[in-house]
Amino acid sequence: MRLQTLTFPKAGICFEPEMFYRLVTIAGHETSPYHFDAQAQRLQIDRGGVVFFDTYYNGISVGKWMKYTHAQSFSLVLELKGAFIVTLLHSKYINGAVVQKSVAAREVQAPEQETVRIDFPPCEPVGALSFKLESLEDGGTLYSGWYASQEESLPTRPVELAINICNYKREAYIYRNMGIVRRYILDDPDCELREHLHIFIADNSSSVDLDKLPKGISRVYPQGDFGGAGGFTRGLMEVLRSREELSLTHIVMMDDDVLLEPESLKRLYAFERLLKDEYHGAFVNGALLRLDFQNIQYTNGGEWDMKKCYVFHRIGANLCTLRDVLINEIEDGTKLGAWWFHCIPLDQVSLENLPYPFFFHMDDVEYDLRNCKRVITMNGIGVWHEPFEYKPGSQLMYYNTRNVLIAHMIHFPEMTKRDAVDFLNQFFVHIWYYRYKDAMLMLRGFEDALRGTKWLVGQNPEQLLEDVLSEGYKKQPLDQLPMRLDYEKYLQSHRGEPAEGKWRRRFRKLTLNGYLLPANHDAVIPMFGLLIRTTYRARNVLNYDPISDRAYVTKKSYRELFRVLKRYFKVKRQLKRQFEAVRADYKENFSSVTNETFWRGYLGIAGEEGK
Amino acid sequence: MTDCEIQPLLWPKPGLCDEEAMYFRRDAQKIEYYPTRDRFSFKRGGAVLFDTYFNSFSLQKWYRYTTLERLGIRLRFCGSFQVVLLGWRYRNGAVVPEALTSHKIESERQTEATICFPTQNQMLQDVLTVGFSLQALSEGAKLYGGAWVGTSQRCVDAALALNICTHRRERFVHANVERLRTEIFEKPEHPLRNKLFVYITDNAGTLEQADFPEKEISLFTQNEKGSSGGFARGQLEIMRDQNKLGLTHMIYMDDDICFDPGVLVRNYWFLRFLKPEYSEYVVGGALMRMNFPFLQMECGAQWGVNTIIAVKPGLDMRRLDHVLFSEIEEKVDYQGWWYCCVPLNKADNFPLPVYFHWDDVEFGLRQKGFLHLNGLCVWHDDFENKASSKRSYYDFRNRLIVNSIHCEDYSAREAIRDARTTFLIQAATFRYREAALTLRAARDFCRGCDWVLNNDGAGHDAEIEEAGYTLKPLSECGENFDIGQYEWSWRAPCPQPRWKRALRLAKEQILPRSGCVTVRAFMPPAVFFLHNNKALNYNSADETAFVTQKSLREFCALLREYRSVRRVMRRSFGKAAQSWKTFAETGASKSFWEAKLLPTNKKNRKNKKTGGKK
Repeated sequence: MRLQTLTFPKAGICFEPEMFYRLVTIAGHETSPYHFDAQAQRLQIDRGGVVFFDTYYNGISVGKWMKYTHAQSFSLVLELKGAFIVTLLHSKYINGAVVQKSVAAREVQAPEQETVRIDFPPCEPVGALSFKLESLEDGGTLYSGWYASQEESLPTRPVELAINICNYKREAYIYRNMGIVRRYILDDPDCELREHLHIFIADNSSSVDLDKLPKGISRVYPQGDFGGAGGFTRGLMEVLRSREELSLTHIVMMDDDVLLEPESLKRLYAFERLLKDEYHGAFVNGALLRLDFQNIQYTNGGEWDMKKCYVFHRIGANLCTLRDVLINEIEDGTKLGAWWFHCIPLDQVSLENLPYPFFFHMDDVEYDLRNCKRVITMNGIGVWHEPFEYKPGSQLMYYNTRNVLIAHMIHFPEMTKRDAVDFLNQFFVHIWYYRYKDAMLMLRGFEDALRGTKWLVGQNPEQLLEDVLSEGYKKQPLDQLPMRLDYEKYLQSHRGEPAEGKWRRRFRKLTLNGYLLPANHDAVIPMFGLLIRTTYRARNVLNYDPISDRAYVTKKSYRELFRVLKRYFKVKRQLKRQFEAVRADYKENFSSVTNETFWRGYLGIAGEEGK
Repeated sequence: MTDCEIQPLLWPKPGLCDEEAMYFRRDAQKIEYYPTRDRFSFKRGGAVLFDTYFNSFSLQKWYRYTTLERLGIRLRFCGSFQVVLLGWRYRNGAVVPEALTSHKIESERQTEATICFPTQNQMLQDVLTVGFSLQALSEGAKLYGGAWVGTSQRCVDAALALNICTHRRERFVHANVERLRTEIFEKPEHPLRNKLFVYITDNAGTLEQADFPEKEISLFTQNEKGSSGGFARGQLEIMRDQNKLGLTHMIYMDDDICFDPGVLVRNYWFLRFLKPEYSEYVVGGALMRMNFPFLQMECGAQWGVNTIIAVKPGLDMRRLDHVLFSEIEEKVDYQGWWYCCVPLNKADNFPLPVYFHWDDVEFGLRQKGFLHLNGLCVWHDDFENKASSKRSYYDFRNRLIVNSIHCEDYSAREAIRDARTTFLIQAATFRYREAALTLRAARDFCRGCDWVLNNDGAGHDAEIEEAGYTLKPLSECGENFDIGQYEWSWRAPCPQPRWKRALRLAKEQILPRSGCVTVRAFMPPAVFFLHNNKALNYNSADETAFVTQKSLREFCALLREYRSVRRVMRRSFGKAAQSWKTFAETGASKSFWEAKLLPTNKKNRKNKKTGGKK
């Protein structure tokens, strides 16, 4: 039974060869013995060429397949032409080092294109299995290949995947992904998934053209802007309503602005089909890879901590290196996954158990905190996404604060007033950057969270978003700003230069990051991921976003500072006074805002059908 | 006597060891070699050198310990070659090569040629190893294989019995048996055919007789009797068949190793040629790391009362200088039972019943001497993968047993000092349960030999296991896993003076700390725990871990327990030591083990044996 197909770099998706294969440089060869035909997706290897497939996409995570599925022994099947030595490899990360061993080798003579099957000997259930090809003659070609289970037949479960995308003015990205799905899945006669895939799009901007989506399997549900929570919930509701009609078994929550490697879906499908009974309720989360540096991982699973909030796992792993690929396979307590690519079995959710109406952010985390018992991640299942640092915005301060506080009140009974105050105190960081508006928005988030469920669901979400946006900073073109962008200064801030000594740091803290001293310079800082010391004793600060090439200016202002502090103390008093009552309110009314009746009313779609 | 192929050339084997430099060194541009073909194809001028761990010949040791008279290299080839026979000396850390003789061989068809070394004379004195180089004089020349050949006027009979004690290591056992099957049992012309028998004692009952249909393999199942009970059972069965099968030697072999059956051939011929004065010596196999197959972990070991010192650890057997250094003999006190070839000429040469660990140390201390050869080795699963709390108990208790039997001067005072040092080190790494097990081991030792013999067993073992830490899947530990810290914990810490370490221990136990550090589960140095109050002890072999937490209360409880154990040791150590000494004089005997093992297993044995023969 086919488990995992070999995949190659694809123009327009990912062309980082070392995520797919590793070519060995051969000394003495005047010309490269390797010729990759991207169009035909085949690799030609001349005599002497050696290619390793122990990579992120083309190694097979033997530990996870053996643990979670019925597949217990593995074979490699290759379609090739020419003479090759095929060496089967087992790689693992053990005792702080990468260990790779050849477990079997076979010489293949194939004058014409033919299919060769080689069995892996029994191996430990850790690390990854893979292979290397060594060509014995010029023109040897690898056409395709896959890993299969040695067992003749395995118990399988029926799987019908529904992809649920929430769109807000990202239709171009959706069309691109649907093009990928069409080309590599629907039009591929060998792909088992092609008959078992459905697309559901909740269109918050009513801008998706159904005709540009794969015919027969796509459904679009236009609606107003109810944020990510509203969009995903709409899709989830429609999937659950179509569950019997289409025999759907799983929903894949997917962001609208991701870039999809089709193999992720194929692997997910094969994996879900073979899942052991005891794991059938597990959620499968795709890794988040950076769209700008495609071999760099942003996160592979994560967990939620009341103090640290979202703890990302395996940040910054370089998936071109075998070490990081193997470390990526270590299961280190991933407890939830966000909805860039998150597969949920439909029997784990219901129309009475829908996401919380958060509008924006935290809907996915809250939903997993409530429903997820186990998350599985696996190399080769992931999507590329713009890194979060490219999406700074003042509105995030409001929504993140409000929604995190609500989620904590609902799901962390151990949370005390003291913890809530600690969380509130995080707003000080904006004061050090002179981002008083962001601080105010954070405080407003607290105030609104303390208003309770009735207020939350009684708001017009679009109107609220507009309000919030109007209270925050607006990025402007650089030529409209009163300050010049000094790029050298910006880079210094970005790199955290110059370094700060122990005594200087103490002195800076003593002066409240320069608030007690007169300002003496202007600073240029990045909008995201900066150090507090970069604004020490600054007068004006240019907050620069290199992606949009826009910025805004913040100024040191004691007046603003006192205004913010005044509101802070007020919110703090309010928090201490109302915390328990509000928490009881959120808990009490929780089920009333997570059911279908509420959501249909909230979204204003009672009786409406999809296009 | 005709030439015997005493050491066939070995080739890299995928799945076992594919480090070319342990087998040969070739000019890759001019010599084609693939692991699937056991042959070389040469371009004109291409040269290959056999000066390696597996394919050089330990000349000095063979001349010293055997009656070998004439040595040569037999090659199967076609084409034209220049063969240079070489010898290597190792002087003050430097490799000194010497070309001994050269020959030209040629043949248009595949043929065999034997080139002899100069007979034993002044010229070969202090040559540690010999090897040869081969240079192709014609295009397309091929080398198909070869062997070191030797003759001797005195060549005794030998037959080997592998004594494997296993406990849930089916994968290794099956793989090893499969290799023996394909390379020896299924080859009628193999020199070890009918000279090699395998006795497997399965302490967990997880192996199936049906998987071992060969008449050369016998499987015995018994309930948890520990490794000493398992090996003793195998030995009893071997001695029972000794006369019938003509067995002369038994090889104690671990269940978590893998080996090349080719090493058995060289062991076999070495035993056949052995001088009579060395006939009671034990032949040991070196221990290589399974994950880094070129690294030697030890080649015999020395017993130092407080510690065990591996002989020749950390040698990279791809390097010629390390290969030669490994041939220099050092004092060896014992040989671990991953590969320990013992002559069967003594009736009561059985292991001491200490259940688990240190049985091989005690056994080794009773033996006359040890012999090691380059190329005679097994690959063993890394010890680092075997983190287990119960080792604390057995290691310490059995160490006291061995010391009291074999060290006249070992007193209660020294034992108390050892207990103190051991438990404090464990406490410094927040492993209070293991520290408690160490103290419990000391207390149990003091109960005397009879108590240990009566109580050791599966039930007691389970109790010990329960008292220690249990490894859980990492994802269930609930602590943040930091791969950077984990890798850091593999680095060797800077040594510190004793007073500093003591001060650090006291300070760390008393001062409040926060934070959780990720460390290796296997013997992490205490320095990595500084400034933390929790530790995630991670075992990467199976992605499991356990969490330990600093606790002043537990530390104080340990100190109280230590004071109590100290009193007991002062009072009872001498008596307990004497009981072990008395027991050791007769304890490791055939009759003792027959009484202990066979009555309950008679029925089982009968069934299994019958099944095996079917």
